[in-house]
Amino acid sequence: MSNGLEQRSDFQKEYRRLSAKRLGFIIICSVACLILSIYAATIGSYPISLGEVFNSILDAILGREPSDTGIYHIVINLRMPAILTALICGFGLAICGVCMQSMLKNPLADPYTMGISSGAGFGAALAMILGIELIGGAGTVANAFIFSLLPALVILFLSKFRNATPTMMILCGIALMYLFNAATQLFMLIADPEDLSSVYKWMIGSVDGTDLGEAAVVLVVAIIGTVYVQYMSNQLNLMGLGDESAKTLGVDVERKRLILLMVVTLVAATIVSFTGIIGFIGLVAPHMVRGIIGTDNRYLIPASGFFGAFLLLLSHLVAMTIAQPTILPVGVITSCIGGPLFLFLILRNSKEVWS
Amino acid sequence: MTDTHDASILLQPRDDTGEPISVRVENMSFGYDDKLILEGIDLVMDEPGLVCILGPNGVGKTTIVKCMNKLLKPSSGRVCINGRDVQTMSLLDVARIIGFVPNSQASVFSMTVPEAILMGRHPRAGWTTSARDIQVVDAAIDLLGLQEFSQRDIRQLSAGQTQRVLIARGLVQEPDILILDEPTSNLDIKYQMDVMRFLKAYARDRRIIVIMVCHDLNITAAYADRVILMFDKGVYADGKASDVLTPENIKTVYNVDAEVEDRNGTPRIHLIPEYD
Repeated sequence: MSNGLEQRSDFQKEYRRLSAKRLGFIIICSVACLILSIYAATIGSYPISLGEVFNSILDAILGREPSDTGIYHIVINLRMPAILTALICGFGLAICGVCMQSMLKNPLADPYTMGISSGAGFGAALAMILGIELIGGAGTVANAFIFSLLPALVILFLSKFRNATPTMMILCGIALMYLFNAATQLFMLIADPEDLSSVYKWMIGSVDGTDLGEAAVVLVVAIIGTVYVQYMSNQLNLMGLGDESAKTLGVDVERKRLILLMVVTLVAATIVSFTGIIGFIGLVAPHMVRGIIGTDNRYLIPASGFFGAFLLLLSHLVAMTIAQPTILPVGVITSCIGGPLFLFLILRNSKEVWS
Repeated sequence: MTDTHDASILLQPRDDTGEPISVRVENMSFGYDDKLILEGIDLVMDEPGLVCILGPNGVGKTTIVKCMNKLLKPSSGRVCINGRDVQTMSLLDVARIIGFVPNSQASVFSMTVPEAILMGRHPRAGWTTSARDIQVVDAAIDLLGLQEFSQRDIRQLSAGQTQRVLIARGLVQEPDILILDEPTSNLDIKYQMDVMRFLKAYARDRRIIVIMVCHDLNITAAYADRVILMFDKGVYADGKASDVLTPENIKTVYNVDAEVEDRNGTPRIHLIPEYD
């Protein structure tokens, strides 16, 4: 059928150019994260210079005796946990968002619409208001974690009887979201004011309540999740073609989708149970990155991760500085920025990423 | 524009050293709930060539090919490809033997035409994209005359252009058996003829089996090496176009009167219209 058309497609050249652009974006985002986190350590009620931050970090990494223990304490023990938590959680939430959107072929899929966050909120309320702890002593975190796994378990259970289609998964998530929210609100009605306030604060979500040990736990889970999702990125790409095409190209769609859902739920549940409900990062970061580098999940996953990390850290900075000396919970800021940003994306989207 | 693409990379004969190529359908039935769509079908395809499946709407043409590549599970009986029962193979194993070109596809994601074709490499490629993968994609773009769309988002293509992209995706899979589900239904007649001519030559040159669900009697008659005419849950006639596409068969299967004229061994079918 080739009738000697002179115009060559030159996909090879184009592909190289695209790959370079995508890699470039990932590098820019990761460097931006690094710079922003060093800058973020200078922000706070006690002024610390960039040089002092550098020294403290170097001291911490090399295990040297710090020259100024006061500054060292503020940078490493007070500011760094929140900064690292913001980076790790932003990264993790964005990865969860990308993966859910790609495998469910739905632009609205994220830890919130899948019922994960609501489950966590319900678990936290249970511990804070009724004092019910599923694992004695582990309190809010364990409760939140266990209940945020419930939607995924329900989907897993239902898939024994019927094929777990993307639509079914999302509807399941939304149904459980309503159920959990209703139950949480019921608890809040009967709660005394002190408990009510702490549940409320928890529900907004913040990154400054964690210590380095907790951040490390989230980091380990996030790394495992990221490695698996990245490994599956080719198959995620194929899932975007529709189940039938994906199958004829060798992807066991139904099984892989369930496994991915479990992995992603685990990551999101871990994050949410330590930080509370931080909205919009999982939704907005992947959408923005798709608009810039396209929909190939091999690049989209790490790019969204770093972009999400940057976005959450930036929100954390805004939350710390906008109403000084009061520190706002970062969840308020992500929602405040995320909402309008999302609207802007929808309006601006001339070359629609979603049909 | 330095390197020229060599489309012949996609036209190399299949490696014959392995299991000989074959599709065997053994006493296969398929049904939804209690209603049988296909009943007791036996078919053997073990010679390279273009096999066309014809029949009226709803007779199960698409169903039978989807049982071949494990998209559907037969209610009873079995399908073997290259000597192995399809149901015992993984989807990836099947995808390494059988390529499938669907009738249409609505993509949710934006991607360029070459990226969409590259997806077809998945069963053969590693995790990263190799230089050969890209060469093969370029060759397929050339073969299907898709050069002018190489920057285009697949969701902006017309139905006919999408079909050509899907065929290209099937080719880069480098299958032993290529199944196409009405691949030309949205193409204009020039492209219909081109695609048929290409597929016939492709099957012959690569020594593979190309199975195609068709609807146009004349175009099928002109190019098919073998025609399978389906009717009433089974195979009604099977063989060379001139033996299968007779006025009697057409009357029984489609309930349409036709005259068939022989042109150098190729039947020409003239449908006789009825007026009210």
